[in-house]
Parts: sequence; structure tokens; C-alpha cells
Amino acid sequence: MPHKCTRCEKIFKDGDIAILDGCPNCGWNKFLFVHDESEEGDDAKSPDKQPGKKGLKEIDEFLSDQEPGTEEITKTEDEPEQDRIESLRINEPGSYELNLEALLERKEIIMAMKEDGKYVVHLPSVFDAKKKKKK
Amino acid sequence: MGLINKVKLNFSSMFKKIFNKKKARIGIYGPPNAGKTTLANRIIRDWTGDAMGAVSSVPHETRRARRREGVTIESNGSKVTLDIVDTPGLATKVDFHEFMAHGLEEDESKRRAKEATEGIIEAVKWLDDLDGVILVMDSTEDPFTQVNVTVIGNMEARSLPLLIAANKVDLPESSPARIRTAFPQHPLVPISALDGQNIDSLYEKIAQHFG
Ligand SMILES: Nc1nc2c(ncn2[C@@H]2O[C@H](COP(=O)(O)OP(=O)(O)OP(=O)(O)O)[C@@H](O)[C@H]2O)c(=O)[nH]1
Ligand SMILES: [Mg+2]
Repeated sequence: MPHKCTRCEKIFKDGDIAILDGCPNCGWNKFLFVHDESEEGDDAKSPDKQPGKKGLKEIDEFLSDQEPGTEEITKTEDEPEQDRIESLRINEPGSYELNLEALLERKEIIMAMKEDGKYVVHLPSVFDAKKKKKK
Repeated sequence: MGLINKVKLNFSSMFKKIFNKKKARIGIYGPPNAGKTTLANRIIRDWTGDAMGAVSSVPHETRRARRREGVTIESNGSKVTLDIVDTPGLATKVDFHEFMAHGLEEDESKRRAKEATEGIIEAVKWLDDLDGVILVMDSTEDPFTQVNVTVIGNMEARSLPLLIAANKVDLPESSPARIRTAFPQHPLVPISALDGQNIDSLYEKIAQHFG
């Protein structure tokens, strides 16, 4: 799913790592998930996903109010359990922890960022689409 | 045992598929500093005369994947044309202090740490587009690392043919046998990417397995 900057409304593609530094256009650090129509019905792996209902989702929904370093991504109604494993954590600018297993296995990248006010970016990656193509 | 046999079976059928194509896209993976770029440079220089990228004793030197297309390797009558992708070193932690310890400024260190992290994500994404992997390990180091175990497990799950290059055998403390014991289910070639030791065996294995 693409991301949309909540300030300048610019849209960024799936898994665009440019937003790791905030919005490349205006510097803002909050994004919305924007539902991509073309993805509809193609997600056989996640039967409990309801694309129509999803529409826009605040990244803040993924925030929890735990202490840095111990956070867990908040469960939301239409996200399958398996997708909520954090794959990248930003402890401070320049210090990163990667969950290689999650990166390798999951179809989405979940980033927890601890700089500039904490927020979590849930990045659907390109992995899944490519894997499907292979089958 | 049963599991190992099954894995082997998968690999040989995958190898056959590639064999029929005679063209394969191969990724060079491994932890930082294992010698991936040194190996990529050697392969590309030996077969095309060109070079791939910069080598450095500072980890995470390669922070973007690089691809070289159409490298034809011939050995023992087998021939294969490879697209070779040199990838950034895989790690579970990237910290700018590591770069500062190598004498880099703080800003530059932070920039590199971020690039290295993005590079790891990029390397993982490339896996979906590959026909096989050369996993480079530094044979002077303990092979039982989280990175090696996780990567090998994932490649097995993907049925991605895997060739282990046990690198740096020119160093006296190297022990390719330790790697073989750790991951006996995969073909392994002890090499020195730096001085070229045993590199012909690697080409033979590449042509045989990927070609
Ligand atoms: N002694 C010895 N040193 C080697 C060998 N291969 C590579 N090196 C050295 O190991 C260091 C790292 O080599 P690179 O080729 O940059 O390693 P890399 O795996 O590409 O590292 P990243 O790109 O940082 O992930 C350099 O100092 C190389 O000269 C080898 O076979 N023997
Ligand atoms: Mg390199």
C-alpha cells in the first residue's frame, strides 16, 4: 500500500525507504496508508484482510504508548496477527536493529522509529508481489 | 537425516531447472566484511576483465546492491551465463559507533549506518529475483551466527540453490571445515577471494550447479 504524507499529501510508493527521514517533499513525519485499488482481491495470503474497509489508515494506529525499546505494535482489527512482527527498529539516528527473519519471511516491513517523536511505519514491501509472480 | 535428503533433492531439481536455462541470476550474500565484493571483483575480472565495486576493511562498504550482467563462466565443458549481484552485508544490528571506531566523523557515520540498513533491506528484496546464491563466509570466524543460520534457513525454505564460499583460507586461522560441519547439507568450496586460491574449484562448482 502506498503512503500519503498527512501534511503535503504527496504519495509514496510501497516500501519507499525515502520516508525513513520523514517526507522527502515537506519533511513531515506522519503518513497515511492509501489503499491501492489495483491490489484489491489479490491478497490470497491474508484472508482476513478486507481491502474495501481499510481505505486510509493512520500510522498512529500502530503506535503504542510503551517505553522506547519495549514497544509492541498495537493490534488493529483488520491486520492479521502474522503481519505485526517488527522488522526494523530505529533506536536513535544511526542506530538500527534488524529482525532478519521477519525481513526475509514477512511480506511487509514494519518499522519502529524512535526519533523525532516516535511513530511506526508499516511498509508493505515488494516481496509478496514478486513471490506471487514466481508461483 | 530425512530433512537433509529432502533438501538435497529440492536443490538438484532446482539445479536442473537452471541447467536447462544455462542462464542464471546469482546473488552474492553474506555478513559484512566476508569478502563478497572481493569475490565478485575476482569473478568479473577473470571472465570479463572488468571490476565490480570498492573493497574495504570497513564493514558495510557495499551499501547498494550492484549487478553485472552476462558473465559467462566455462569450466569442464559446462558453460553458464550469469547475472551477478553483489549485495550489502547482512547484519542484525547497524550502529554508527562502529564507523566512528574506524575513524569516520559522526555525521558521515550516521549516514553510512542508515545506508547500510537500507542496503540490507535491498539485499533481502533481491532474493525474490534470484536463481541461486553464493553465500560468502569468513572462515576465520565462527559460522554459527544468527545471520548465517537465518539466511540459510530462509534460502532452504525458498528452495534457492546455495553454494557456500568459505573465504579467506589464505589466513592461517581459517577453518573451512568448521563451516562444513555447521552446514553439511550445502555444497562448499574453500577459497581465497583475495589471492585466488582454489578459485577454479569454485568456477567448476558454479558451472556445475548453476550452469
Ligand atoms: N586475507 C583475506 N582477506 C580478504 C579476502 N577476501 C576479502 N578480504 C578482505 O576483507 C575485507 C572485506 O572485503 P570486502 O570484499 O569489501 O567484503 P564485503 O563482504 O564485500 O563487505 P561489505 O560490502 O562491507 O559487506 C577487505 O579488507 C578485503 O581485502 C581473502 O580471501 N583473504
Ligand atoms: Mg562489499
